[in-house]
Amino acid sequence: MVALGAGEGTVTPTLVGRWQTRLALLATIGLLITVIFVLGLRSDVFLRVLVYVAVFGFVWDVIYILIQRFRWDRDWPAAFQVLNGITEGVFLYAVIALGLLPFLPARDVAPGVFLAHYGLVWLAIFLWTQGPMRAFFPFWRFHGGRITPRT
Amino acid sequence: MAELKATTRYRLHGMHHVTGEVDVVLEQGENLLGRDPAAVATFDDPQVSRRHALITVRGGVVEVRDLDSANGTYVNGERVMAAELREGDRLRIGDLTLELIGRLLGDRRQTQIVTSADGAVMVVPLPRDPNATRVVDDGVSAGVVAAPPPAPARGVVPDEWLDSDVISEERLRSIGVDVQTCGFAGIGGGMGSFVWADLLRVSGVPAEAIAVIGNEERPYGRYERLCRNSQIPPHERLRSNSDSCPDNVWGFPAYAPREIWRAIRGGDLRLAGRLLWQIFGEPALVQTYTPRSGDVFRAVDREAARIGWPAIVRFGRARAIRRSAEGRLLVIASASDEQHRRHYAISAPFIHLAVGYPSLQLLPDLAEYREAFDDRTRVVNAYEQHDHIYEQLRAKGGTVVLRGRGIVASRIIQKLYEERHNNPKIAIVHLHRSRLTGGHTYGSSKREVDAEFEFQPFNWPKGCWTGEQRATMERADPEERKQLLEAWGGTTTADRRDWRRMVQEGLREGWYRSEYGVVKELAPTPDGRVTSRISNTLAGGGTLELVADFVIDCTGLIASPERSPLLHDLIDRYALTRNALGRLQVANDFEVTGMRHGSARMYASGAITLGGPHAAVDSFLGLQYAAYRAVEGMRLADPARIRTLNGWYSFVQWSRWARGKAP
Ligand SMILES: Cc1cc2nc3c(=O)[nH]c(=O)nc-3n(C[C@H](O)[C@H](O)[C@H](O)COP(=O)(O)OP(=O)(O)OC[C@H]3O[C@@H](n4cnc5c(N)ncnc54)[C@H](O)[C@@H]3O)c2cc1C
Repeated sequence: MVALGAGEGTVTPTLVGRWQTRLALLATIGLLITVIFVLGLRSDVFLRVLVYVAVFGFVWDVIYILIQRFRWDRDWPAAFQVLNGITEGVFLYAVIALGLLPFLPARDVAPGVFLAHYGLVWLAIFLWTQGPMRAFFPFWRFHGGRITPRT
Repeated sequence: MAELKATTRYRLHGMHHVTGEVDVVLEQGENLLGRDPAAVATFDDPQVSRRHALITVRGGVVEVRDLDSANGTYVNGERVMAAELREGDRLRIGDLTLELIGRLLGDRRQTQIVTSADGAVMVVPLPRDPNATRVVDDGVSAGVVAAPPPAPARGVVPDEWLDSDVISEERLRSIGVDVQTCGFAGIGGGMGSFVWADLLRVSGVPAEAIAVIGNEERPYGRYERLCRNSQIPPHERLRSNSDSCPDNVWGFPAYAPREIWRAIRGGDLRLAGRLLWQIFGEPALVQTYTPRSGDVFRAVDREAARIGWPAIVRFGRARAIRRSAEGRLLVIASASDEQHRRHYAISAPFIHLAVGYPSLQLLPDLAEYREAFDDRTRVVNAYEQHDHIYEQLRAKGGTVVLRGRGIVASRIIQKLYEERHNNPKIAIVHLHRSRLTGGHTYGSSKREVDAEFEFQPFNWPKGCWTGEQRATMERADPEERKQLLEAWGGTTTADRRDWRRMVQEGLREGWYRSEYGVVKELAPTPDGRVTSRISNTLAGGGTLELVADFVIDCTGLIASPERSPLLHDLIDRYALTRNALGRLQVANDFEVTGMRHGSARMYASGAITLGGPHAAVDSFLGLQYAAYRAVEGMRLADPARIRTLNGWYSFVQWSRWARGKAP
């Protein structure tokens, strides 16, 4: 016997779901925007930034999942997603500016252009995951953000 | 003839609008119907008299006599004082119609498949005496009893036929039963059936290929009644989030953006702003957004019209599910009304079972009180119609004892809080077994507790629907599943600021308080109130007497599957396995594997599968998840009929939804 109740639904991501979604969206939406920047500003530095966003993302996602374990609902509110966007961006720019990244010297990356490129990529992905993604992949949310179904 | 009837056991069977199916087994001799404690079944219906009617069974003769009831006894639509009842007759008392069903005793006999002279394959029970001649003629029970049974009415499935594991569709047709063959058959017609049929429709299945047996005109018929009774009127907000959209598998646009859009168009920019902030900041910064029940119902109406739901539903009550000799699964349903007795059957390679709650239960001590004192006005289940309580409180004031600390209790407190504006002499005593010390914990997280309520936005942690806990649950073994459900579930309410404020206000002003103890018994007082005798757990076991005008059970207990005659029959007949919670065992794709018949399969969803692969099956999104897994299972079994709802095809379907065009 159990009490009656109710439901809910946004993506409550799992680690694999986070990784897959990040990679898939960076490789599509992210790449599209990046190509525009590459062609428009005739520089492939944006491609290299994009790759670093993906690489660092692997680690960030692990951190997020660990934090998520402390949340009873194991969810990730939209506000957190915004916060993540900011921290990831600030961190990435900091390590670039400190010249710590191979193949990406600090002089190649002007703060304004970095902000525009990174900001746009992030915003497009954020808006896309807030709903439109589901029109194409309705069951993406049922698998904690995995693109390939099943646990 | 007399011999045959003497071996028949009779039952009254029907559907009640709140409690669901009613099944009364009649004993030889006298059977009292009414609200009297001595009655064979008690009816939660004010129109039923205490001693309403008497049914006498003598051998094979069944008679009914009205006992001067206030509202009368009706047989096949006519008011009677006394009448003989025959199988299939419909007896009405109050607003409950019951059908007399006769059933041979010893239905557990084995069956055999035989081919008759004209080549028809049929299934008959094995003769009791293996040495008896195996005569097989028209009547299926011939060869079992000496005399042939009375010829059944045309279009009606004889009860003896249901004693077989396998039934021939062709033979059913030969006795005039309407057997419809279709690709997909659903049973229930409620929210679970609706989201399943909806998913099939957007996956390319035409409406003609789907048939759903149900007894509600609208998918939310029963749900809406339970909502209204438990004080969720159309303008109140539900307990599911913005993205749980039974009218839209994509959950896009979710209910919050739709409400924001309506607010903008209506010029209410403040509301629009508040809602936007809510979906952005929930649940960390603001309380979680939930849609109004009326908005959800309207959206479901729109989707029902779009997918051709009216053409999909077949009015009726599913009585039995059987394997068919033709290699499909067969649902036998009754569409009898007071005047006519009619059965029909639907045969399909895929069946989806979504019959909701088998029955709602009162706490044992409350049920005992109601039985003993025949009092259905002072002690009620929150899911029953109980407006009389608020009417009396409004007029005279009074005290209400609440049992249960979940969301239903919160809703009742809200209602009583509102009534206090009409009459401030209303008081609430919230009775708890023990003090709530800390919230549930799971891993590194802990649930919040305040003023004896434990909070979480929904009835399970969010991750149970689609996140980490969903995957954990699917992987767990049956015993682990039970433990996980205990860790994640329990009684919780939503963290609504208004509810917290009401409770704090009540505590401060003294009209709301908590008591602790185990109820020993309830008894009526001479002045028409009710006393709960409790042994007080806090004061070291002393006895406490709580006198109140009403007791409302807010625990929302759901009975086990046996309470549904359909499920009882099914579990029994095919020896289906049950899960650790006693519900129907389903595979991870919600298939009831024990029902496999050739390539035919049966799937289930909703509360009857709790304890299985998904914790939140009894919710809109949980039902959608179960439907998704079931449809996926069906697609893998028969890829020609169902398209994968993904990628561009999904987008095309979504845009048809957005434009209100049929799928
Ligand atoms: C008060 C309340 C509030 C809830 N609020 C929410 C919420 O906010 N969000 C959320 O996600 N969930 C909520 N739920 C939970 C759940 O989503 C609903 O209960 C939902 O209606 C369950 O759908 P269902 O198909 O399992 O059952 P139902 O919708 O009850 O449908 C089952 C149908 O099957 C019919 N039936 C039974 N036996 C037979 C038979 N033999 N033959 C033919 N038909 C039969 C019944 O008459 C009924 O119409 C709530 C539940 C309750 C009780």
